[in-house]
Amino acid sequence: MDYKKDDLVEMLATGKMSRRKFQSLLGSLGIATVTLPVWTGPARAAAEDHPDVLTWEGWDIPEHHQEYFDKHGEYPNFSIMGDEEEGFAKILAGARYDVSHPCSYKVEIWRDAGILQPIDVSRLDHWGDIVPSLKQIPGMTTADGDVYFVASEWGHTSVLYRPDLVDPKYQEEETWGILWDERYAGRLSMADSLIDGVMVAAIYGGAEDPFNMTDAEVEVTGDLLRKQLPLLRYYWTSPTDIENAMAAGELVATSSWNDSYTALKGEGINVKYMNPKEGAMTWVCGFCLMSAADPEKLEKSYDLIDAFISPESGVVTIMDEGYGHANAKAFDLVSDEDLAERGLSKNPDELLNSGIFQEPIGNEPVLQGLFEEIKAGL
Amino acid sequence: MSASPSEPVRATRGGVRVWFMRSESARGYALLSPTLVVVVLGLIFPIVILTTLSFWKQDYVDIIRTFTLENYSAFFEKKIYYLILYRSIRISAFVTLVTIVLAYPLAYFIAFHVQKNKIMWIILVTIPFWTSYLLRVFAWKVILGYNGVINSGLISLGLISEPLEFLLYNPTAVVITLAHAWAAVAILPIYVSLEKIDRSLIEAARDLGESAFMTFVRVTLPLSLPGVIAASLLVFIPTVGEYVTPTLVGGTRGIMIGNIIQSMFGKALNWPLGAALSIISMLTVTLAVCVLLGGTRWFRKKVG
Amino acid sequence: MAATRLKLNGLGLYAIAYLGFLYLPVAVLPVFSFNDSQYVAFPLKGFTLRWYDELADSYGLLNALGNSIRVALCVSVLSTVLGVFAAKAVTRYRMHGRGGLIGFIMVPLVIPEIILGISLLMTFSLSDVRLSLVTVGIGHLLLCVPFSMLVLISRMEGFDRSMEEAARDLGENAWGTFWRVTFPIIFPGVVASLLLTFTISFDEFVLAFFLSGSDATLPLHIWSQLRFPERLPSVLSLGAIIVVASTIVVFVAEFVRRRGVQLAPPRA
Repeated sequence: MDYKKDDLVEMLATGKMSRRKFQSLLGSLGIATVTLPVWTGPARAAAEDHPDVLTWEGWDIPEHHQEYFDKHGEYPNFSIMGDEEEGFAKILAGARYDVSHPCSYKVEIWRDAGILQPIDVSRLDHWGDIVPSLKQIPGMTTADGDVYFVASEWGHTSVLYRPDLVDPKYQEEETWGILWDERYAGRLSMADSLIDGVMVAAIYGGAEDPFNMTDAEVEVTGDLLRKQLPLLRYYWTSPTDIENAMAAGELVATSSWNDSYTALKGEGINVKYMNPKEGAMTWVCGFCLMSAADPEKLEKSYDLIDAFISPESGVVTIMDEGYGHANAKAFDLVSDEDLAERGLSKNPDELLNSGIFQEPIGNEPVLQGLFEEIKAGL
Repeated sequence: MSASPSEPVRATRGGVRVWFMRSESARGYALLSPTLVVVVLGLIFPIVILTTLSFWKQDYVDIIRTFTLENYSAFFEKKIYYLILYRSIRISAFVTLVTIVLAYPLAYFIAFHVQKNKIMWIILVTIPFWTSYLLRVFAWKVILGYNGVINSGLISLGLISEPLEFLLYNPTAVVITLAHAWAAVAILPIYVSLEKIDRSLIEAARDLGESAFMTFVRVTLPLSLPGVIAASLLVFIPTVGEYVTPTLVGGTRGIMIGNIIQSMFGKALNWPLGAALSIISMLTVTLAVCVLLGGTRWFRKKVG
Repeated sequence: MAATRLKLNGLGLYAIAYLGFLYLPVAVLPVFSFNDSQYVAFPLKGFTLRWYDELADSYGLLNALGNSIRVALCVSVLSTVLGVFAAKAVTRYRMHGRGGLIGFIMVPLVIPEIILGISLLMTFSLSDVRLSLVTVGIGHLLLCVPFSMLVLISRMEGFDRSMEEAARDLGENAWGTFWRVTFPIIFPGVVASLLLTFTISFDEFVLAFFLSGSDATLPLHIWSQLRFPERLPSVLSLGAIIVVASTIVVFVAEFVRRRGVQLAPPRA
């Protein structure tokens, strides 16, 4: 079957190819296409030795784990999740990873589901540099002292708004209430999630402990969400949803994370990020070691987690994402102006303690059911 | 094909072979077997898992493995599930109708009015669908959006002063996006069945004095029905379970049953209920398909 | 005569308008791939090629594109072959339980994709199969076979059996009959099926999400990039390139074919 390329074109062009030739050509083409996926080339074979990581979009770029590359000369394998629940579903159904990247409030349920294994922090070179308060996050350590979570990046959930398009009074009195302001009906958005959406309503509704609400508080929260539904353009599921719309003026205010604020400001859009009087939410995400981890890749998995909490990775997190980082040394590598521009300072502990810290949500399924019903217009 | 009396005698050696050659069913099964084996192997476990799951119960992160009908009764007790299922079926049926009605004339045009390069036209129809679906949905957001193509166009023409907000983030946007997304799936089967029609039948009808329109209604349309049915099924069935499009362009009012099921396997963490809901929605879709097929059979009898 | 001419024109106009509708979203992509702003919104900011520049650096993207093409090629060929078998069987032979069997093959269409994805993933993990492009391909195959089968059935239904019988009487064996008689007749159906299944697999997201290992397919890659505003314009430029490139391929193929028509000796 060694037709020269030109012959093949010529044959096809003139129609001079006999049926038999065509038949055998078709046959070999069939075999070739069927075997292609098996033959993926030598370049990919090496990746088999590296850990499989389930992470967020953006954390797969080399800058975040340069230290790992420097040590091993190759990159780990990344799978991307849209949110922790998607990743959780995939893991429960049997997908295997060595390392995962949830936010702290999910660690408890993940551990209860038996998918995490304790982390030996003495094997992490950068553990000593972690901001002290990030070593005491509720749920990350068991009563026996086993650590299940290594904090990496942290930030806030608050209101992002266009000061040029809303009542100036919101610049003096920053409040979640802007997301319920009927004057901006159809120009508001909320996160399509319990932690960044429903909890916002709980905080605005004045719940004592938003993460463990009483029945009466749940009722208030539900009513607020119902009241808000007709005012919303949509519930957002990714930063793209809100950043494009904020840039266009389609939205005037939305709940968001710091990164959208940093990005929009970087593009010269007139936006502000609130520190609501009811309190902004603080979240921390980081890395977990999976119980399904391949023992042979354990050493490299530790190296990878170490790379993610290195000061160099921290600088990328602060500069590009506008998030805080767990490694205190990262803050020393960034100038005061750059920190101030992102609402950060050299004293991360202070910021971490100022907001409402995200915790595991009590009665999560019931709240989710309520949220679904409200979204369905019931 | 009449059997001669001498044949059974000859068949002693190859009795099975003769039986095989004679029995239509056996030969049909043999020919069907590769496909069937693949589908059975691929589906048997998923179906077993799904069914079993639907009779179990979720408790926090554990699944309690005792038989219960709770998940099924939840469907009838809580308004949300059947309401959303009904809404999904309605949206999908509407999408199917719109898609087929829009696609048929194009398929007809390619089959009857394009003389050369038909394959080229067919490929031309499929090319837009080689760019990612997600990108196309995103593009629709840009077209229908607040500062989108339509709004900017209308504003620059001075027809409106404020952007129209009703274009996007509602069930209509879902219908437009899906009618676009499934166009190729509708055009191809219709074209294929139109192409098959024996032209002499159409000429005969015209020679017998039928008008062009009546020829279409009485000859072309009924003969192309297999393609129309195939297209309707291929569009209707998958769109009922759709969840990506409603999330992206449906806004707060465009949720479909797929979203609920997805949430059961994700955020709400209730796999058994999710399984039960998908079984119910599958059965409902099957029922709807039977109604559709019954309807066309009736139509065929009536016209043909 | 004038009337038929007019009708043709009307239909032709509609065809062009409809093609316009099909190409409208695709035409938007290139516009913003040259726009000098990371935000995809009017008004346009200015001309830039930087998104194409970034695209060239994106290893993950090219890798994902290659993965998707491979999977889609395999899936389209395999599912069309299986579709031909199935369609031939159900249209050619009167079988007991024909409706039930067709129905069963159609089941993957009725199962919501997310369910099919999760339950296939559970099946693979129970049988210790490592997630890879092969598992994605298996999922896509299940999804594509019904499409192939339906397209081919609608082509084969009412197929004139006497043609095949004539070939058999003339001494052709089963394979010869299929290849010389049946195949040319169902050829348009085969092309339609290949195109359709290629398109479906190339573009499938939900199954790929659950069944892929660390090798992302293109829709998965695009999805992860879409969530990331600053990478979006590069993805748009990729979309633009795919459309332009596939159009060029089609026109080159057409050119080759036409040249063939000119070169081919007149048929007797």
